[in-house]
Formats: sequence, C-alpha cells, structure tokens
Amino acid sequence: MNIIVFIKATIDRNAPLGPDETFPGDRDDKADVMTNNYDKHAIEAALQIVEKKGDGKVTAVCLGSDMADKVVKEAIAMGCHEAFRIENSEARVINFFSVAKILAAAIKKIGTYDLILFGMQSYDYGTATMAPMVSEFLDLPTASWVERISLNGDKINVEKVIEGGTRTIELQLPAVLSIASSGDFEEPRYTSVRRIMKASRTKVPVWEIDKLEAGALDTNVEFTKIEQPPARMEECVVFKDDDVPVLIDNLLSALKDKGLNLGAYK
Amino acid sequence: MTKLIVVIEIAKGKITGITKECLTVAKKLSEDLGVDIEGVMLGHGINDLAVNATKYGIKKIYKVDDAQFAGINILYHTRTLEELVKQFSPPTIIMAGASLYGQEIIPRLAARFNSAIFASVTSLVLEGDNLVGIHPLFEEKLLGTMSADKNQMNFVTILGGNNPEAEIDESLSGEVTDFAPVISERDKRETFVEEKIAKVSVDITKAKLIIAGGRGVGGKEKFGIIHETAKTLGGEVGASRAAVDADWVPYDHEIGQTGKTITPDFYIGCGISGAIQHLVGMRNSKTIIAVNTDEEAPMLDVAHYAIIADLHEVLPELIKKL
Ligand SMILES: Cc1cc2nc3c(=O)[nH]c(=O)nc-3n(C[C@H](O)[C@H](O)[C@H](O)COP(=O)(O)OP(=O)(O)OC[C@H]3O[C@@H](n4cnc5c(N)ncnc54)[C@H](O)[C@@H]3O)c2cc1C
Ligand SMILES: Nc1ncnc2c1ncn2[C@@H]1O[C@H](COP(=O)(O)O)[C@@H](O)[C@H]1O
Repeated sequence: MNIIVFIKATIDRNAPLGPDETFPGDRDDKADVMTNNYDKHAIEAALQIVEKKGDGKVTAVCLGSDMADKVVKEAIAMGCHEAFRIENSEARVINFFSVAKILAAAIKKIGTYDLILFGMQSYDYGTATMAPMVSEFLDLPTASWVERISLNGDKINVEKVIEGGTRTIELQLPAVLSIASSGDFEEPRYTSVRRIMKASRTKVPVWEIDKLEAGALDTNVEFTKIEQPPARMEECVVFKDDDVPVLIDNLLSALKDKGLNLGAYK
Repeated sequence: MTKLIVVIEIAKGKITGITKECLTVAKKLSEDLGVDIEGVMLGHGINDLAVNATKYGIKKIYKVDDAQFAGINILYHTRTLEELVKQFSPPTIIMAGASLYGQEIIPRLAARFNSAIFASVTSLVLEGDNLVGIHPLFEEKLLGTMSADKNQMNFVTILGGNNPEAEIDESLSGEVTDFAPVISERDKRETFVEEKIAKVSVDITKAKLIIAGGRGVGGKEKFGIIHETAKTLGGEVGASRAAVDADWVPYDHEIGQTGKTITPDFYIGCGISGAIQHLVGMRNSKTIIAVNTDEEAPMLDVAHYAIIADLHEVLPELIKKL
C-alpha cells in the first residue's frame, strides 16, 4: 500500500497577517509558518492505513518555499517514510488551478500509488478544490471529507460527511481522498522531541516545477487584489482571572452598559 | 449569447437552501447579462421538483431522471454534466452552491474542461468584460477579488450564508426537458452504498437566544446544563458538530456549515473552540458570548464578550443571577 499525502505550509493562525498576504507566505520568520492543520489528519489517516495493513510507504509532498522545509520535516517526525518539497519560492505559482496541475504531475513522477490523500481544506485559500481537481487530472475516483476508511482488496469503502449525516461509497483503487477533521482521524498523533530532533537533521529533497511536465500553468481566473474586510468595531471584551460570580457580574454589567439584557427572553 | 446554468442540488427531496442562495446571485447576473437562467437537476423521481424549480425564475430545466441517480455518484454526475456542458460553446457560466456536493463536483468538472474556477465566492458580478467574485482567505480574515474574462467557460461555487435565498413566484413557469444520463464503464469505479441522514424536527433558526454546547461540555449527562440554561433564559439549545457526533444532542441543534445558520440576538457558545465550519453558521449573531477555558480559542475572534472559565461553574452561576 503506497500512499501519497499532500501537505501545505500555511501561516500560523496567531501570526500577524499582512493586509495583502499571499500564498504561501514568504515570511522572514520561520516561526510564523506551520503545517496546515487539516493536513495532519491526512497524515494520520495515511499512517493508520499502512500500520493496519502491515506494509506500505507514506510519501509526503509539499509545494512551497524553503520556509516549508519545516513542514516537510514535521511530516517525517510524525512517521512519514519519505517527504519532499516542490520549490515554489517567491510564490511563483499561486492560482489553485496551476497548483493542482503541479501536484498531479508530481504524483505521476512518483509513479506508484494506491491512495492519494489531501487535507480537507487549506487555512489560507480554503477552497477544498485540490482533491477533486487533482483526481480529475489523473482520471481517478475521489471522495472528499472522509471520516472512515476500510480496505477491501483492490477497493476501498469510505464514509464521508454530507449535510446532516454521512454517505458511504465504494471506490476502485487507486483513489484520491480528502480527510475530514472529524471521525477516525480526528486526533493526529503527537511526535516526540526525539523524533523532531532527528527529523530536523534530515535534508529535504527539493523538486523543480519546471522538471515536472505539469503542462501550461496559465489560468483564466486571477486574483486581482487582496484586502482586509471592514474592521470589526470592537475587540472582544474578556473577563478572566477572578471568581466566577465576579466574572458574571462583570459581564452582566458590561451588557447593561450597552443596553443589552440577557434576562429579556424568559 | 452567454449561457447561464445553475446545478440544482436536491437533498431530502427538496431543493437545498444553498442552491436558492446561488439562484439569487444568478438572477442578478442574468439581468446584467440579459440572458435567461437555465438549470440542471440530477436524481430519480424528480419531475415535480423540476417543475417547482421553474418557479424560481429558471426558464429551462435539463432533468436527468434515472434510477442510477437515486444515490449520488460523483463520477456519474461529472460525466453527465460534462455531456450537457459540451453542447454549449463559450461563453458559458456553470454555477452551484458551495455545499459539500458543489465543492466536489464543480472543481472536478472545471478541470475536465481545463477551465479555472471561481471557487467558494460570496458574490459574482459583471464588471465590464469581466466576471468578478470575492473569495474569503485565511478563514475570512482577508478578502481576495477574483476576476476572469466573461467570454470563456466559467465555473463557480457560491458560498452559503452570504445571499438571501431566492423566493418562489407561483406566476413563473418554464420548460422541463429530459436529458439522458451518460455513464461510462470507468465511472463504475465509484459505487453508492448508503446514506444516513438525521431527521429534523426542531427549528432553532427562529430563536432569539441560543445557548450552544460543544465538546468542552464533556458528556451526554453533562449536556443537561446547556438545556437547563436554555430553559431558564428562554432560549434554544445549539451545538457544535463535535457534540452532535458524540451523540450528546440531536442533529437539529447543529450550527454551521453542515448545520443551521443562525442570527439570534444572543449566542452563547460554551466549550466550543470556533472552527471555521462552526463560525460560518453563527458569526452574524448580534451579540456573541464565549465561555471557554482557553483564551486562545478562535471563537474569541468573533465574540463580543468572553468569560475564561469552566462552563460548568459559569452556567449554574449565570442561572442563579438571572
Ligand atoms: C465537512 C465538515 C463539516 C463540518 N461542519 C461543521 C458544522 O456545521 N458545525 C460545527 O460545529 N462543526 C463542523 N465541523 C467540525 C469542525 O471542524 C470542528 O471539529 C468542530 O466544530 C469542533 O467542535 P467543538 O468546538 O465543540 O470541539 P473542540 O474543537 O474540541 O473545542 C472544544 C472547546 O472546549 C473548550 N473547553 C474544554 N473544556 C471546557 C470547559 N470545562 N469549560 C469551557 N470550555 C471548555 C476547549 O478549550 C475548546 O476550545 C465539520 C467538519 C467537517 C469535516
Ligand atoms: N501547496 C500545496 N502543497 C501541498 N499540498 C497542498 C498545497 N495546497 C493545497 N494542498 C493540499 O490540498 C488540500 C486542500 O487545499 P485547498 O484546496 O487549498 O483548500 C490541503 O489540505 C493540502 O492537503
């Protein structure tokens, strides 16, 4: 069972966002870059499947700038057998259509695979387009928001999230899945300090976009500008570090000052 | 002349709300372009639904009505939609709501036509020779403006919760034509097995006050405090998907992308971290209060007030004081 899992480097949600921040955030400070949280669920799924099968290999792939090496190393620390980065410094390719073509080309270059896993969405672009687009470029069946998986010979049974419930479908392998943040892979494993130390010493192999035969990377939809939404009028008023009755009194009087009454609906 | 086609999604025997939101965007666009809205509907036993859909101002519905479409199969849907879209030359706009279905089918279809897409946009309007859409980035902390030539093939998904639902107008009518399904041998690599959908009996969308509980509540019995608080304050019970998944509270109470969108006077979120999938369902509530032990929880990005403490200490005390 060979599994390819795609991981993206995004900006830490607590790091300041520039007013015109672009993907994948060529940052001066490595501390601001992190693994797209949802991709850890995909890594968890890949590792669980291989562990259960007792054989196989998990290869993690990231398209990003050299800042993303940190993310590739984290995938190794979590237990991926192999990991590499496709060079995209200075955010050369940012539109998701071209990104999908590059990822599909990388899969072709890897050559042997049974399953291709994605996170359910990225923190920055968050369109959830990658799994369905890449699956189409490779002419493979696909399912997004997968919560549970069971292997069944050369087929796979997946349970995926739909509005108000779940749908179960069976797919012929190889297949492309995006993994849900809920369900069997909800809690990605922690890595030990020792593993992180070890992984930090590995050298990350880097592939060039131009050598991947991804085809034309033009797009017919463009981002023309990125801006901040109208600023929120007020910051959140936080009540903390006091006895609970005092915290509640403070909240109720703050509400009262604004002419708001929590007791009005009884 | 531009073709404007809306993929009409059906769930539980009804046209989905997010499709109706998409129809609102399509209506404005159709007026600006000076064209009719057309629709495509795939399923089984859907003739009445198709006729009903014309009352939303859709002039022509392509109806794919076949037993093989009783359960959704993405490969079948892609192939059949491909055959339909192939009949039209550019300029053509194909739109759907950015539901879980729309987000799967539209990118796949766009890739098949080698056309880029307006993925998850809140709006789509005509500006000169371009279509322009707004796509939220970084969980809505930034807004990206996307632009494309209106004279090519354009695929679009419209994010839910940003446009009113189109209303039915009994005086309107349109044509319903059958479109034969197309399924190739390769499409049988996907098989529909089953679908489990919760019944809905309670409607929390009208409530003026919502007390919502999440995983932080800690158990089914412990969820009692959420019910008790809601009862005392005269509100309804809401929940995160984590609480619903754990079977602490029925699906009717779920708020967010796969649950309800609410805009009450007060939303009190207890033990809910504020994942984007939850926030999209409640961030327009008038006053948002978070009760959480973690001051870093993303819920505080949208909350007006927050109490940083154990909800099981806060709620009984709140009941006492009100
Ligand atoms: C396709 C898809 C669709 C989804 N749609 C939705 C949706 O519509 N709605 C939705 O809600 N989710 C949805 N989700 C799930 C979503 O991604 C999150 O997993 C979920 O919202 C998390 O729920 P939570 O905040 O209750 O739990 P957690 O994220 O685990 O947060 C628990 C919170 O409780 C706090 N806490 C713990 N103990 C206490 C205490 N004693 N007192 C106070 N606070 C405490 C913690 O600090 C934490 O912030 C969806 C997921 C998928 C895959
Ligand atoms: N630059 C990238 N490198 C590797 N994987 C990516 C990249 N961008 C997106 N992905 C994958 O695609 C998923 C969905 O992203 P998106 O379509 O942007 O919401 C992510 O969770 C990742 O698994």
